[in-house]
Amino acid sequence: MSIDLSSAIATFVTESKELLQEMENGLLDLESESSEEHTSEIINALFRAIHTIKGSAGIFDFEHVVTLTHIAETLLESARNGELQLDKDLISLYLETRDATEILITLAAAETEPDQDLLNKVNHLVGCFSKYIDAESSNPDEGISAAKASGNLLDNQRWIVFFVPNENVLRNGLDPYSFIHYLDSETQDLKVSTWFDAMFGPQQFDPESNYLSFILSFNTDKTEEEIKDVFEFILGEAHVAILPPHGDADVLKSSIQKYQDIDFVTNALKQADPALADIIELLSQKKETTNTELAGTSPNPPTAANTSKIHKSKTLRVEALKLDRLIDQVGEMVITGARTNLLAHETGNETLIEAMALLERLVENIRDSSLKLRMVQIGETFNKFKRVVRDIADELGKQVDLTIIGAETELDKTFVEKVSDPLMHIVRNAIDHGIEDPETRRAQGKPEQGQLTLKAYHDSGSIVIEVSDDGKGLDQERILKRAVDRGLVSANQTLQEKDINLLIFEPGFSTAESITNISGRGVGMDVVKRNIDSLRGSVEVESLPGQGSTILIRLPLTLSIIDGFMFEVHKENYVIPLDTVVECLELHEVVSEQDIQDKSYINLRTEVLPFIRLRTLFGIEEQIDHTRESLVIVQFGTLRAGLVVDSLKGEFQTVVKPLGRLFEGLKCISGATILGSGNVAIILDVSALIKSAISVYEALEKKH
Amino acid sequence: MSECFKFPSELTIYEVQETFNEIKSYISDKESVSFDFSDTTEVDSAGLQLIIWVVYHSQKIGLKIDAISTNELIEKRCKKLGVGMSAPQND
Repeated sequence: MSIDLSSAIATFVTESKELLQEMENGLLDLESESSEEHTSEIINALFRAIHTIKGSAGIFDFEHVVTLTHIAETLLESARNGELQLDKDLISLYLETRDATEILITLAAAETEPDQDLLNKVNHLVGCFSKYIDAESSNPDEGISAAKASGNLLDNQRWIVFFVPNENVLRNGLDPYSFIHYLDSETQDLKVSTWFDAMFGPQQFDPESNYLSFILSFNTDKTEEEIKDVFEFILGEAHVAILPPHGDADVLKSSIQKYQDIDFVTNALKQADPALADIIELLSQKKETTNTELAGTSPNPPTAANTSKIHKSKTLRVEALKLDRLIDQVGEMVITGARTNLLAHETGNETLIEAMALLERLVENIRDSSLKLRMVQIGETFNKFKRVVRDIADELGKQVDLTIIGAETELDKTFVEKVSDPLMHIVRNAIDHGIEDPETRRAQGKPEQGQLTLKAYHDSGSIVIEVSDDGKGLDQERILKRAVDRGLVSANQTLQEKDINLLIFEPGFSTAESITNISGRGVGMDVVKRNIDSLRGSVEVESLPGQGSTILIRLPLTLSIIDGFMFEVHKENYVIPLDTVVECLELHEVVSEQDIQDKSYINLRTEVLPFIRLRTLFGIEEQIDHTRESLVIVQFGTLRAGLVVDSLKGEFQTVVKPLGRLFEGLKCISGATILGSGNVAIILDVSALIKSAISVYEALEKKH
Repeated sequence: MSECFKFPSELTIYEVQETFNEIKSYISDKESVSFDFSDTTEVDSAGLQLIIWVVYHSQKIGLKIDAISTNELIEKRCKKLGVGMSAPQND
């Protein structure tokens, strides 16, 4: 009977990716961590991540993953014991290992063999780790004396051997029992504990694979070297660690990692030598806290700061598709609710109308709760940039410090996924073109280390993501010149500063003198703009020469169900997001008909407010009486404008339905929704409407 | 009393795969089983591992073990490894 492991492998891949991400964050934190306590906690977390991946990969026979993680884990053990300092070179080595492991896991899960390049890379990494390990173990006497000096010795009276033959040992013609038999003949009172539970694991038992591992204890007057000679022929195919009487605790610590069952280890040690009671006690305590944390002998209890490094919340993993389906169904419920409400009102039955109102409130609550299910913190995405910033800065010989603000800000998972790539382009550009090299910065009286800030916050129904740097800022003169050269604007056209800044988002635009690996091809910033537009968001650029730039991305809170505000234009219903509505007024109460003739703005409480008549925008020639027109004042970011409509309908729960490709080119329209009556209402893009109103106003102003 | 599965005289890395296949087919349609290792006079780690597997696996999947006939060699080796082989009790 074979067991279908595909779902277990899929879980393994997901979990490993999370562990690898944690590992990357930990490694990057290590670079800036000065507290010894936190460093040790991070190293422990790294060790657990690698150990878990290795263990799981072993279950699925992902040989390359096991090889790489095993050696990475071995060296980390030295760092864990305080024998090795994780410097920048080693952190880079572990970061490369993290990347290679991720690729190996993905390939192994897809049952694809890694190509030669990847294998070379893995071999290179293994070689690098081996060099460190060899250097660590080149002088064993030093280790012993160091252990003695530190008093890290055990109380064992008997010899103990940890003997873990590898999986292929039987196929390779070696018989572990024969070594035990020989040891028995060379020593006195040999006791053996055998662990064989691995053969009852999820994979089918293969009689030619070895599943046995042993802990042996005995008395002898032979030397350690002579005992080692007993295992000489199997040393390359097994973990053999010898613990002489009063042996080094580190041997024990590193060896028990090789066994998968802490209960077995404690029982075997208990049987091997009662003098090990203390260490057994410690292992039993450790077992209660964690199964993987076997080797820590540090008496320090975890502090609050330690625990905060690893965020463990009670979570439930749910397939994204199931959530999408739930939100679709909630959307349908909202639409049907509106229809039922309409019918209830038609009956005039007060009790029914009241019951419907209650039901509608409940539906609203369900809608909000289900939308919240899709909300994730942006911190996860921001954290990925720590690595990007580090790598790019290193590559360009620049020094950049990344500051993250508002990591806890929540936004829809769809946005997180889609905003990640645009942010990547912006961050790359900021480091490549914005932040100067250390010499230039020093010459300009700036600190050598440049500052890059990623900031997220909520602002009037939108999520704002800011990427700012303290670099040289945008060179508007050059941007304008390049735009004229490329025919994006005409030479005699005068543009405002903010419009010049926005030219960097035009396709094929780049002012970079040289094209680097990082940026400069002008491919990317236009994609940034397009991606943000597709999310109904907007991009703004602020820049001060010599002081830096800020790119501001503004996104709506959600894409699927919104609180809308409905109005009518020429007997058709239109909806805009309620968050964008500032106030509603009767037009004739604000301004007389004569005052706005041929004008595109009104004077609203001494403020100039550009407005747009939706009848005009939609090409409806028939006009209605001025006294019947209403004015809806809307705001998006810092921009504000008025929309002149026929009549107001009020708040409306809006389930956003995308429009077909036919409508893709239409500006000012972002979707549609179905009303309770079954009619369709168009959802308008407020950002585009405001921009349109402002450009009409500016064009008319220029004429005058 | 169930039909008994008799292990070969040699149970080493060279025989374990074939014996394993026979055992699987033997236990597949049984509710109670009996194993006879008494004729096995040559056994290595692979053979010992298979013996451990068949006894413990049968127990794990809920088969009733009626009898285990063993011999001095197997008993001695299992004892040396600290593995109990006298018919484990089903829960």
